[in-house]
Amino acid sequence: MMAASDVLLSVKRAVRAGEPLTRPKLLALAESADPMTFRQAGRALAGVDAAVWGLRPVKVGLLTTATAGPLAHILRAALVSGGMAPTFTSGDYGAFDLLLSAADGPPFIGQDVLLCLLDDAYFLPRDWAGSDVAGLVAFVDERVAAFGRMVASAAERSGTTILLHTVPLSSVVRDTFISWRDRAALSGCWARLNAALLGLAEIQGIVAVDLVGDLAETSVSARDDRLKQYADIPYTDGALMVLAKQVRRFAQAKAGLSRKVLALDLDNTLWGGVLGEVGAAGVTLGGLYPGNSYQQLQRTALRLRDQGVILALASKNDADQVESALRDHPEVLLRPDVFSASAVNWQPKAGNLKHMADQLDLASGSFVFMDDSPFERGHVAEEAPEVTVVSADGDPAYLVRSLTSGGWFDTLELTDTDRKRPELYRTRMERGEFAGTFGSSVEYLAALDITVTVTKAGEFDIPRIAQLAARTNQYNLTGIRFGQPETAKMAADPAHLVISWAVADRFGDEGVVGAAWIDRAGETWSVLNLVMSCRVLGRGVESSVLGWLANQARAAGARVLAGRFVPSGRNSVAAEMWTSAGFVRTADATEATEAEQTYTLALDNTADLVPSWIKLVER
Amino acid sequence: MGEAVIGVLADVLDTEIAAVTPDTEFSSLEDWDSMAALEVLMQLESELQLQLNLRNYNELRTVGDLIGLAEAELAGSDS
Repeated sequence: MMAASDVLLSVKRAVRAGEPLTRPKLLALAESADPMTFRQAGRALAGVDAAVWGLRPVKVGLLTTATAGPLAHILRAALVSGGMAPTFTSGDYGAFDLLLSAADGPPFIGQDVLLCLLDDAYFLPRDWAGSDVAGLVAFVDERVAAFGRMVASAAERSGTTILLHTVPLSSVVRDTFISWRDRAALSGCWARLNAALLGLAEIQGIVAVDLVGDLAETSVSARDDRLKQYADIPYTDGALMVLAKQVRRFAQAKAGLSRKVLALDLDNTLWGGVLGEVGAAGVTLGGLYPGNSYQQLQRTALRLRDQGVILALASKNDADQVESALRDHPEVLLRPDVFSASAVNWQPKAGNLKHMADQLDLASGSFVFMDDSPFERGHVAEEAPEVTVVSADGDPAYLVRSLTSGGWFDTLELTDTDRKRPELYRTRMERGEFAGTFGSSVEYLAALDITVTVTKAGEFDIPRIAQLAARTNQYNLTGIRFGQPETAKMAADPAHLVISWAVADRFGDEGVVGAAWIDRAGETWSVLNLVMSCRVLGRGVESSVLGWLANQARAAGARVLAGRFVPSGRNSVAAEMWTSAGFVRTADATEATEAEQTYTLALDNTADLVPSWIKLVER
Repeated sequence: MGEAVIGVLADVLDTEIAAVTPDTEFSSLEDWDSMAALEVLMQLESELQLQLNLRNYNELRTVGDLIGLAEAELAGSDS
């Protein structure tokens, strides 16, 4: 997630340059929890051209029981972050009842939505006796009933959707009653008031936001007594931001911008751990924390599916292993048949998402993509910026909140078609592997600032190298697992070479991700085995390491670099490593040699194998 | 402190930073009204993580007065 100040800077810079903000930056604004960012961004965005920015124009009427204050700025920021450009028409200060009962004035006519900003003072008498809570309660009850009649009639006559919200009662009012029974009576009355406001949403053309509920989970104070007393501003920027985010969700659904597909990563998103490393029995799912967090995400996805959201799987894994894990793991809730589309392979995910969108005959802009890897999220944001990217990073306890709080799937009414949609799409689509390949663009990789640091193994590197050998099943060329003593012996022997490499990019440091054991006794250097974590696939890391090895071998006077591939049933992901780096399969390719394939690279006039986007460092 | 205060004023009023100095009187600033004053107060409080006394704030005449008030508040909350 971008820091609040970065989000604001990117907004101001875009406005100054007259260039639209990219979708990923808009998303960062939508996810910001800093009220001042919303206020300032909203002010900066006042003159934005909807057409140039590719935003959906929306007309918003504002009717307030007190002073609106920065409401329009904060709303604008929220709406722009959801892909909309609002124009506001405000009712005059102090004319709330007049405008609402007429319902034919400018805040209503021709608007897509009318927001009523309500405060507690509107429902309270000017003065009351401390000894007469019953009188106060009766007043409030009557006031709410009258308000309800007025709103219902305004919605019917104007045809404009009216958006209401629940209203927090200031503790300043509550605490003027010193008896516990009286305070409970007043709070109970206020709960009825909010229930009545929410009840109005059953009427066609009225929508209600539970602001009180939202505020309870937000770390901002809803009121600033100075603003209320001095300027009759009932809410802080923080409370207005919370409300504005809900208005954004509603306006988005009304403008037809609801997302329809949820594409989920698997490892460390739908369960803890990496399937290819720990196997289906070893993943963290169900039971106590953190397994329960992953399972709750699965349950939430299933509930979304009940409501018409199409589920898709986007995972870098072996398809067969995923299929059986989803089918057989007792704690899995998302069985293979709940996914309407699936891309389980080693191709870049942006291409996979676009391909699934084609298969489903939906725009990729209707996709929400959730993944724990900043690399994958960054890649999709870059190559398919229209996709809404949600982070599954960090503490798994937040997974469900991260997925649902944006409200990307919100819909105005749920229909039967919605409920049947996932099944419809699933049966329409042929499940299976994707044949095509989707290259990552060199520009994206270049922008990552990838550094590969190769290290000749010393004493302190041996344990990590042995651990990699023991744990890597997929990107393991020969399946030979050199243990700690053998590795240490080879590292000390001049006829052998043991190396490891670490990868870092602008998202962070992946640490030591690969190792290789090499016999360098003669004119041919032989790679005895090479292992690498699948996390870093698709970035050219393996080619850069082979490039480094080729350079070392050549400098030492060797003529050939050789390596082997031994299929294990689980390492198909590494099958193409040698040939894609320019190695040639030895001529005697028979059935007997299929089980142990040998590849060579002549070192006399080979080009540098290190990809242009990788900075190779030797330590 | 002076930089932060002037930065907020320039940002809220959408003017050049050079156009605002400690000697500038608020009443001489274009678009200065009670809403702008509140806007400046909110932004300043949020950026500097402090809370000013609104009555004192409303009595300020120059930008320098505001810098002084903010400095005094910060010094007071430190001790």
